Amino acid sequence: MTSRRAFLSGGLTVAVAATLAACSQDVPTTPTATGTPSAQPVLDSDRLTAVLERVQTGLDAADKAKDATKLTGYLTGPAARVRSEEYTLASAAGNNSHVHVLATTSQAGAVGLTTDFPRTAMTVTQATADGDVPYLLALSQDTARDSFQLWGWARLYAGVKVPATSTAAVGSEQVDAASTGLVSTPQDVLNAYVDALNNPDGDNGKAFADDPLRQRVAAEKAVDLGGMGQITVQASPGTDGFKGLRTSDGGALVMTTCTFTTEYKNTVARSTIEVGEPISFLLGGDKAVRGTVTAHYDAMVAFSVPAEGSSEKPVVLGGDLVLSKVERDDSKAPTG
Amino acid sequence: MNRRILSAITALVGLVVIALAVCSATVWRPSSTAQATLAQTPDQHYVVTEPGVLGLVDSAVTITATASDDAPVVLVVGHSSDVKAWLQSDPYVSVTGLSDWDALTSEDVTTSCPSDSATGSASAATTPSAVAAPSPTASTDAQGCTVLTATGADPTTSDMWIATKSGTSKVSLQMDATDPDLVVLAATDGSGNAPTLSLSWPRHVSTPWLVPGLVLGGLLLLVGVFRLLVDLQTRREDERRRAAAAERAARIASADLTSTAGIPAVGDPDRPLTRRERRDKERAEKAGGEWIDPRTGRVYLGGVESPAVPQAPVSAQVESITEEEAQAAVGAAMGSSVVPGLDEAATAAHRETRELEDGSPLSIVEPSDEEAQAQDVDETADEATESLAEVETTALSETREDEQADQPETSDEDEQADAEETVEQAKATEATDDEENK
Repeated sequence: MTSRRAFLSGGLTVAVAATLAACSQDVPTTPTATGTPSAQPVLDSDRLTAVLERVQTGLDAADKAKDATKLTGYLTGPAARVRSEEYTLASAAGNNSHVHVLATTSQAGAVGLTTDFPRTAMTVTQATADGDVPYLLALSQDTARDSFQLWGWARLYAGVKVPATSTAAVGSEQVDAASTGLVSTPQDVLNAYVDALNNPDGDNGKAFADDPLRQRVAAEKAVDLGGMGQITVQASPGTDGFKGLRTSDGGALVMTTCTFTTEYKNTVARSTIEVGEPISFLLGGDKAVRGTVTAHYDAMVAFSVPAEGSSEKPVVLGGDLVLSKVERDDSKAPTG
Repeated sequence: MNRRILSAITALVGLVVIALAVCSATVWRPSSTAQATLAQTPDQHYVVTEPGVLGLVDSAVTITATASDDAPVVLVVGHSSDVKAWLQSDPYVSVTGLSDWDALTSEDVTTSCPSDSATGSASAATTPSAVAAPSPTASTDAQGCTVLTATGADPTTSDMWIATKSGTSKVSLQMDATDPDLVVLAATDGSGNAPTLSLSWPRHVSTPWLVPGLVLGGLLLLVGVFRLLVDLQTRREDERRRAAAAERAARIASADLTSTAGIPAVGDPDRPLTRRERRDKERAEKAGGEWIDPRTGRVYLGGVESPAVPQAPVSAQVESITEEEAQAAVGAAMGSSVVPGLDEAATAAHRETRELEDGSPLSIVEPSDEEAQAQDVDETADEATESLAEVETTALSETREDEQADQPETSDEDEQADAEETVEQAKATEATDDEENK
């Protein structure tokens, strides 16, 4: 009897204690962070759209005022510089057609996959309503406290095919000047292209297909000054660096800059050479070339660089060109 | 008794266990929402959760930031690397986990130290120079860590945030924290102290004691109730038996006056009466009834001994008398005198015995009243005795039909029928008596 009652009361106690113990579940502890965090897509498609909309808003406001200072926070790098030059030219010419109409409505976007800065995103815009071609835009976030800004754009040439990239949700490896795993590094591609511009008949000139930029350079060279002058066209790689993303097939989509200058030199004393528009706009209306007049062009170029081992060659996807400045040097005027 | 108490206790314990089990799954069940809040108001401009804190309890987390007054409040969700990158050199409050179910643990991050190995080499390298130059820079503390200074930047507009929600006073944000790398940063506008952060999760609350408790309690209850029922039945059976015994006793008691009279137990005449016998005696005396002393077999009526009625055993009477003797003692069977067939001589002899002796004239002597009555009584008694004897004789003669062959057939048959009838009547009387006795 006693043992039984003890047993029962003991069981009851255990039941109560266990019930109460069930109330006090252990508080979960924070798992320790596992090393370096894995790389994340730097943007998702929604945020990419938001970024593009913000850029568009800022761009529109700056375009309206043609005020380069209003580009701050929206455009950076060569894009900001080129846009600023366009404003200058447009202001000098009194013609807004020198300002490219940029529509940032994206039809396909790719973002970098990294935790570091700067971060890159690229997108192909939809063709504007008035039949303009699509642009390839490169966006960059330089530091954590910066927002994504438009770094560069390239008008896609007719007939080119932009290689496929991973979606924004997946992210793509960022590519820089020295990235490997490609048929050649982006820097080498740029150098080769500049060589093609300078020596269209060389190996590199044959490697690249003809494109509007090459045609422009060729046209500059082909200007006949009637023996009274001399034209020198010299292209050189840009110094803005590269923004690029790895494509799905291991190649790269790269945007960079190059420049070329056209020097008009008067070689015959007392001869008169006049430069045409739009160079003249930046000469304050004085078209005469007494010594030398050097026109500087700023170009943004987009390449598709195949993956290493591919039989294909780098392709110029697009580019854009602006007359950045014109220098006059009358001291080099021919004498005699 | 003890068994009943134990059964009741068992059943009660079963009920209690069931109640506890139910309570454990209802009123004592921990809240299905765990809400943890920062212990104190942050004194830095930003509050940031450590990776993994948001998904500590459940992936569905609701983050609430509450500012003291109508200050702007912003909650942003981002990858830990992004948030850390954004914070750069700003001090912040780091939410590190839960101290209990409703409190978050936190620590202020006010310095940025290089990784441990770098710190070691850096301190080794910088300590001598620090001694040489007591104040290297204001932004480095004794351990060589960079003291973080607030910049007051507003995190709202950064592109890096996966989700942003801003408002005033109080902002709440629901998110899926399946990715442990996601963290949340809460701020006002970056220029003032951060709002108080509160995280709440739906909490998976198990009820591990419900089913075992119900089973155990149910078993205990069943056992207790079963035992109680068994006990009840036993008691009822007991009561019934007791009632039956009492009833029997009562019946016996009421039946004693008649039934016990038939079975007098004659034993030691000097033994004291048993209690029951005494009771019977008292009852009989009170009722004025007959009581038979079981020791002696004497019959008392109203407490007075009644003389025994000498009663010759019938069997002895019958056995001792032969047919001839019976014939001689009783004479011819009654009624045989009127049976035709007696010769005149016999009739005459018979009549002769009845003839007056002295031939004196018939005189009428008036007898005294007493004599007459006595004579009547005697005659009646005689007649009764005669009829009894007749019956018995007739009964006896039944078996001896052949021996009475000299008597006419018809009368013999009549006689026999009469006798049979009488016997039957006697038997019926006996049966009635028996029944009455019973």
